[in-house]
Amino acid sequence: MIQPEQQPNLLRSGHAACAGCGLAIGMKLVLQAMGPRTIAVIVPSCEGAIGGVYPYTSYGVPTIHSAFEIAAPTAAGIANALKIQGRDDIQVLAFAGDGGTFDIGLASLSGATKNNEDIIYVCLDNEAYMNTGIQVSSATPSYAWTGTTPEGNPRRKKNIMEIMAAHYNPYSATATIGFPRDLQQKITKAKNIRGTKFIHLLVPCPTGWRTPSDISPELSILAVETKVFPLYEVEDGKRYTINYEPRHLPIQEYLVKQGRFRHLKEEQIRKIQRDVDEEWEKLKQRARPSPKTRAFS
Amino acid sequence: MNTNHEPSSEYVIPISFGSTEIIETGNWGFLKPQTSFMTAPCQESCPAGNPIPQFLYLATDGRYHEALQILLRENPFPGVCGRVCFHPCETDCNRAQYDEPVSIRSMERYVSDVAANQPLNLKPVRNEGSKRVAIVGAGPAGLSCAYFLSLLGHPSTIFESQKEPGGVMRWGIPGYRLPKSILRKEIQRILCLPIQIKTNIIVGEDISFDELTQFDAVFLSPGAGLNTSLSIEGEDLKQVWMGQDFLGRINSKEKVTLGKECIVIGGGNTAMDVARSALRLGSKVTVAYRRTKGEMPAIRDEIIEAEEEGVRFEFLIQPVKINRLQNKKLAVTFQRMKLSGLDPSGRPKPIPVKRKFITMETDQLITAVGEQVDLSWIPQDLIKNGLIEGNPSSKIFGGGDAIDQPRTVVHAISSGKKAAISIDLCLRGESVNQVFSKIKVGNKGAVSMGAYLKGREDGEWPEEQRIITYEQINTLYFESSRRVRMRKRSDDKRLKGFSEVNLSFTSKEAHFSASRCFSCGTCNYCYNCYFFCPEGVISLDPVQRRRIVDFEHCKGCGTCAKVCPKSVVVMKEVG
Ligand SMILES: Cc1cc2nc3c(=O)[nH]c(=O)nc-3n(C[C@H](O)[C@H](O)[C@H](O)COP(=O)(O)OP(=O)(O)OC[C@H]3O[C@@H](n4cnc5c(N)ncnc54)[C@H](O)[C@@H]3O)c2cc1C
Ligand code: SF4
Repeated sequence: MIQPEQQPNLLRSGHAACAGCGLAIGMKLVLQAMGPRTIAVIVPSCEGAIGGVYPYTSYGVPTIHSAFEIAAPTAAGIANALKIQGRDDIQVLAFAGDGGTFDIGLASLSGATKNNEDIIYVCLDNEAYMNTGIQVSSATPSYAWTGTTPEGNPRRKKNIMEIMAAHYNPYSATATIGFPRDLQQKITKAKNIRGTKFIHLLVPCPTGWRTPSDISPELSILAVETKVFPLYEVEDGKRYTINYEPRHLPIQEYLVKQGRFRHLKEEQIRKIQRDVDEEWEKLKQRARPSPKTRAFS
Repeated sequence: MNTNHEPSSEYVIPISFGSTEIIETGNWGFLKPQTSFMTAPCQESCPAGNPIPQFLYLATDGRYHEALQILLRENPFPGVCGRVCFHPCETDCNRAQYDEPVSIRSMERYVSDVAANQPLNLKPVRNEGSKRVAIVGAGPAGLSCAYFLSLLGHPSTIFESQKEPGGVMRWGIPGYRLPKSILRKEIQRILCLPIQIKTNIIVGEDISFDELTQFDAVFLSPGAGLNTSLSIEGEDLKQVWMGQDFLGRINSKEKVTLGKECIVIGGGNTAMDVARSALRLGSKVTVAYRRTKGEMPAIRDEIIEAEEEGVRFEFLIQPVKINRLQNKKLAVTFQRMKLSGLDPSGRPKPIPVKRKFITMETDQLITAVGEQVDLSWIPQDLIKNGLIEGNPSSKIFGGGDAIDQPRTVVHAISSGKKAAISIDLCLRGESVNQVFSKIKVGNKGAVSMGAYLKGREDGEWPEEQRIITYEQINTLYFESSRRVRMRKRSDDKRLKGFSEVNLSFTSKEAHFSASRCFSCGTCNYCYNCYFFCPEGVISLDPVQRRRIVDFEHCKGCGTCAKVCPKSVVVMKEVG
């Protein structure tokens, strides 16, 4: 097998992401694993900014800049057009941010998934509306500072993976840039599955998370190792597989590195730790092979 | 890439055809990543300066042949060292602070065994005014000196008193630790070079010391071959043997018959080898040592293996008298000792406990209480404290066990390398000290032949490298793991003969063991920087061993420096 690192880079340099952008790393890794036989859909967001200014683009594959809330149906339309043309060797990839997925695009994503449209949908989750100046989204974690939650976000992060699982779509997976080989393997796997594939990709954002420009990969790894963001897959909405056993680091190791959590009080940190532990237990339960029902003799 | 960016009126929606690559986003930042290698602590601790992270990287990649070649540049005996070295490298391995040290010695053995039949790939430098060098003694020191001299273009003649070369590796260390076939192969590889060897020639008897001075330079490495005597009553009894003689007879395949019970006096490598050899000849063996286990100078692994095999130990006793009994057995009287204060070498000093004696009966006693240098044929001005001291101004150099340095194979190799470089410099009339400061590997005495060859050829000396500490390793990128224990011959088969005890790694074990190396201070193409650069401007070429960064588009975010687990990339202001 050709290693992903030997495949061409399809996110060209000269793009306009901030220095150290985790989202750019994510898109680069995804596109590399997708390969050149891909049509991408992007929406107004950092993806648009990264794409460059007309008439230049950083995308190395044909890319359509659609509207904010309709990444999934746009991709579905293209996929269906390709099918009608009989071109089944081209994959359609939709990129949308957490705002366009968790909040404003949720209905259209749900519709496309309900129809099991043959697309790969990658949610680039940087946990707030970063491109418009850091406003809270339903993907923002508890107590995180954003421009619109100066005291810290009072709500918990929405569990998008469970919403997707409730559609019984063939494949959903979490991934993050700190585990590039895991991410690229998941993309490769998704390419070989027909129907709606959903990748929840956590991408640290130095600007919005208030962090130095060089620690996006490290934060991404810490998110996994502290169980804030476990790496797992859900097949057909019911078969759960945990891909990586975390080191169970205390949550502080992840939080202290980020300015957006600087104001946290002890009890808030304890609460986050409790939530994280609880979610992890729930996930482990789901990932357990179901006990065999005893046959009547 | 298509950089044509003319908008076309054929389309109803605007389409970008141009590439953002024309935008020089490199101007957004002023720091740029630079590669800067550091020396790994293992490499600093290896007296031969073995390029450890580099050879382990190549081994991880399955490039065993290349791995062996880079080892051979610094050490002509990887197969020997991979078996019998006391491996200071593993003691100082950074990974020891994380979980367990990397199995460096076993990997050196594996690489050299797997690639053993490959020809030597090192080209000796062309040397117009090459000189002839005389070497006394074909132990590891003498053979290494001849080897490195050859790489530097100087032919040499070795005078060896025994019928075969190898020194202690041939006549001392038994085959269950170092199979003779392995040693023979490594010596053959050396002797393919322009080296003349004259065996069965004792310098001082068959030829005189003065004859050596007809050569352009002389290297003295006769080792320490004289048994130290106990100087006690009864030492000359028939059942009392000398350790080195005993090992020499076994290694000559002589048939040796031992008594049922055997006492071995001493705590060094010779004592351990004698004890374990005696076990293999069917004796019940007790080692008597005057200090405690902690002070035994033998290599730790040897003590453990001796215990495993059933050697008994008696500590804090020293023989004072040996009597022959009516039943032909020996009665050995020992003085009880205790430790008190330190001796001049800094080790706890054993002193007698007044009036406390014990007596043991035995059939056989073998002494192994140290070896001395035979200086009978050495001119007085080259002797200091019972050892040889070279005199560079008269182009006479010394090395190995005969000079003032730790008595190990790898120190002998190191002294041979240093002497070869000194001789080359002296013969070409250059300053020794200046060059040595440029080719040192860390600060513990090792020097690099690779660096010397490069500097000598291109006049390009490497920049001084710092030693990378454990704190500089980003362990987030390493999963903790245990090292593989090498399989051993089963207990019942082990004592039946002199077959090698430690069986090699399997290829899977070797790959895993090599991949545990953090690669401290050296790029091993983990691809972290490549994967994590948001700009995609890093390209890596593991074959040519290159890392290229497109500075026109590097925004200087510093991610690559941060994600490098071994601190090889640093951000520096450029331009
Ligand atoms: C039993 C034993 C076990 C050991 N085990 C280990 C071990 O496991 N690991 C380790 O690192 N070290 C070990 N050592 C130490 C190690 O073997 C020595 O430090 C090393 O061999 C020294 O190398 P050398 O070249 O200086 O001398 P030697 O190996 O002693 O070689 C000297 C050579 O010079 C020849 N010679 C001497 N005088 C003359 C003369 N007048 N004319 C011509 N030739 C002469 C001798 O015949 C001999 O071949 C062991 C030593 C002994 C004795
Ligand atoms: S990661 Fe890329 S952009 Fe950032 S400093 Fe390194 S080479 Fe430059």
